[in-house]
Amino acid sequence: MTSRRSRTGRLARLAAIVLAAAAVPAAASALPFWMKLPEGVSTYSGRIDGLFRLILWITGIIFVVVETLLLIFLFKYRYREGRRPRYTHGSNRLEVIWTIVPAVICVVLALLSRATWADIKQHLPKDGVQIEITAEQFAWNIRYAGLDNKFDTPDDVLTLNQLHFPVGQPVIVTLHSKDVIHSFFLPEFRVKQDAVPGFSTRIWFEGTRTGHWEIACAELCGLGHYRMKGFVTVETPEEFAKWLRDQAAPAAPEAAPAAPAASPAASPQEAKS
Amino acid sequence: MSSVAVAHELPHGVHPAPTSFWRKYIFSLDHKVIGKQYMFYALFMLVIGGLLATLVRYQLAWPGRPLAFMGKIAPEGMPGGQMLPEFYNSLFTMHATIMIFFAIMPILIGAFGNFVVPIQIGARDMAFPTLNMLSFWTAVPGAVLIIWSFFVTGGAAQGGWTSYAPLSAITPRGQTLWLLSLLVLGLSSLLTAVNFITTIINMRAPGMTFFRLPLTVWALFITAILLLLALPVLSGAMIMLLFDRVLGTTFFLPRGLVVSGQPWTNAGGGQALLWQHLFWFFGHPEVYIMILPAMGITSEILPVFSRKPIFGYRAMAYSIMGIAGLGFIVWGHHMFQSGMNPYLGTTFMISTMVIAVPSAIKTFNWLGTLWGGNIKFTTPMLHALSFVSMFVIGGLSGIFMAATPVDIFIHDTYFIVGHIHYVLFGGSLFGAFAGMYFWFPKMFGRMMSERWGKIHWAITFVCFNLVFFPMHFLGMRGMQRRIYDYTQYAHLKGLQPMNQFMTISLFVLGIGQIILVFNFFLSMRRGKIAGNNPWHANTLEWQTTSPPPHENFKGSVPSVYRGPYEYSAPDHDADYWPQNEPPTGARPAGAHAH
Repeated sequence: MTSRRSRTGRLARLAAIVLAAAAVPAAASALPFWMKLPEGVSTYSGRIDGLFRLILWITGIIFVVVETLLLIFLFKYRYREGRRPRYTHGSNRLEVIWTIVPAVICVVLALLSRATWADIKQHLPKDGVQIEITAEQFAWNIRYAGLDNKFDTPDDVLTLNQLHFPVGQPVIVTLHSKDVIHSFFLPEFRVKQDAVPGFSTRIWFEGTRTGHWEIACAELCGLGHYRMKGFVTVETPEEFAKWLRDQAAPAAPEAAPAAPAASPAASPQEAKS
Repeated sequence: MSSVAVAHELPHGVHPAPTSFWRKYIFSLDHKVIGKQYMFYALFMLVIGGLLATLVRYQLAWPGRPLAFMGKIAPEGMPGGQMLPEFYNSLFTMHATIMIFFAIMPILIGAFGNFVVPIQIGARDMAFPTLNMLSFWTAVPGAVLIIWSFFVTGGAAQGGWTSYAPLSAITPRGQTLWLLSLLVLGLSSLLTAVNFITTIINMRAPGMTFFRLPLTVWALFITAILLLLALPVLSGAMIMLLFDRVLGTTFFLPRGLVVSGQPWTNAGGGQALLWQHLFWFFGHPEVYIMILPAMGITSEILPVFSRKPIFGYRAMAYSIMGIAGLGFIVWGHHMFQSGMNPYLGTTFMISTMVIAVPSAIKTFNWLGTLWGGNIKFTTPMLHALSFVSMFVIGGLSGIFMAATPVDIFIHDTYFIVGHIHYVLFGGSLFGAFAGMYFWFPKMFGRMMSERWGKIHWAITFVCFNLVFFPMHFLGMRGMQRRIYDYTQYAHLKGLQPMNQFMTISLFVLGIGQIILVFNFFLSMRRGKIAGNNPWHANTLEWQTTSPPPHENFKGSVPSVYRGPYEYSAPDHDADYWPQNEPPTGARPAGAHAH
């Protein structure tokens, strides 16, 4: 009898847990847009968002526990005439516990973050579409290595505020600035890197689907900071190659004879890898 | 004849009280008067900083909508009431600068530090009263310069409170005044720091050992050390930037700088990131300079109104030291996306994660203090409890940006703005309000109205959260900070209603502060007479008259027999046991009740 009751109890509890676990993603999709991160469209956006959610869960639980304890204490120990407060100067055991537990949580978070950070900012892919971006007040000068994927060759393409790159291939961007510090921010790609005058910074990212997005400047750079906007087009490698050819063609008609030589390397990534 | 003789028989080291208005209220050497001067100075600047924030938020709620009356007040920045982007940049730069350097620091360190520290340690004044007067009167020209900068050609500084070079080297003249103002103010803070450190080390009353110091004193002691070590680095950096601007040096100006298509004349050899390293080497300890005193005040108030000792006194003191020490090795977490070597980013991430630990220790000890208490919800207590609950949010949101990969996305977004406001408003300012309601009776001899105090608290607490909590959502959507018009970005579409909601909440928050102003000034005249010890507290400031006499204590300075938080001790009749009350019965003098 007791065992059956406890079994149904266990089953009910299990069902509740399963339901709760199922409710979390359901609830997440029902959230208003402003409670969600923008859709991630780079290969590493999922890893960043995953860490964000992990930290949100951990800090969320700590937040709820601490604030609930606070409210319980405030209610339970509210002033009562003649109540004798507990006279204590503390507990070394508790001090040790609440020193070690947060320390362990923080160190684990740091270790989890380390690998993702290294993959995003420290280890650049060997091959990738080479793009050079020089920021200035208040525009992005974007230079493409062109079909040969080498800079300072006739098929280089220079645009203002127009960033095109192929889907499914790593893009390696070298950032410079002419004047003040700017910050190259692609919100949906989870990319942010300051462009600093005096030295160059190399970053990489890889788009996971085609579409149109925007570049924003994230570092205050003067009165036009708010309108230092660029446009991102992620397209198929074929479309990208065509776009490069179209861009290069009118600007450098004398480069046309060179084009056949370059055309076998239409998708330089495949050629190299 | 004899009365004249008595007047000269003042205790050792005490000067007779000044009698002229000039020496008594203006160029006073009395730490209590100087503390009040700082209080009025900080409250005045707090109002200015708040008004600037209101304009910032107006623009964010209704980008580009003209504000007719502002066209008359600021015709250059808002011609016809229409805000210009450069004026918007000045507004948030000056809001942050004024709030940090001219409101939060003066009220926590200048006002409470000056007023409370000497009395709490049982001293008659600061170690260097003249230096103390000079500190305040050096801070005044600092404020004059920063306000003056609004009226120079090109307007006030517009490079953000962090004034990143090279932008800050090439912006209009207001930036030069910004630098001069903060250099002057930095000198004032250094004088204060030296004075605090000397006073706390040398002038404690007999029996006032370091581990009998109230935690407010501990916090201000460590704060003063932080100021002394961090501020000269900022001053050095600011002098270099000033030279770059006016003398043609190139500390922060790299070779080949081209501004608006023209080569910048004095460019070459400098390093733009050097400014950030120097600034944040100061800037991160600065964050703790602004939060530690508020932590001290909270630790002071919770035991008084829980009627029980602080939980883990030594852990509290050690964690203040831990925060201060670690505070010097985390500055790089402001620079994860700056182009600094990403390997360094990992190092700074780990040190930053570690600094969360002492903050956690403090929070749990505050909870431990409340546990099993007999809690009275007075106005100071409500503000101190708000500090605890809001600091939890500010502390936890810091973990997001400490994690370097997450910081890639939220760096320089409203998530950061939300975080710092939970620390500086939810933390420091609630701490300052708590201190104000707590020590007002001691400062002016009268109580503030509890009823109006509670109404003010409720409005502030609710509206604070309505203004600042949504900032986390804006940051999650990627809304950049310091941006004049976000509506043109595709990824920020649909965020205007939330911004309007926040702005309207800020208006209510601002109007709510009028209650505080009235409560403050009316209570000075009409409040209930406080008596020496209205809160039945143990520390020495409550064992003298309200307000204390010129020399703080009538007769000789008190002797201290026990720690500051002996509430509800089982071997004592009253539920409080002043630090200077001689022990009764067999208890040996100076025994620490444990």
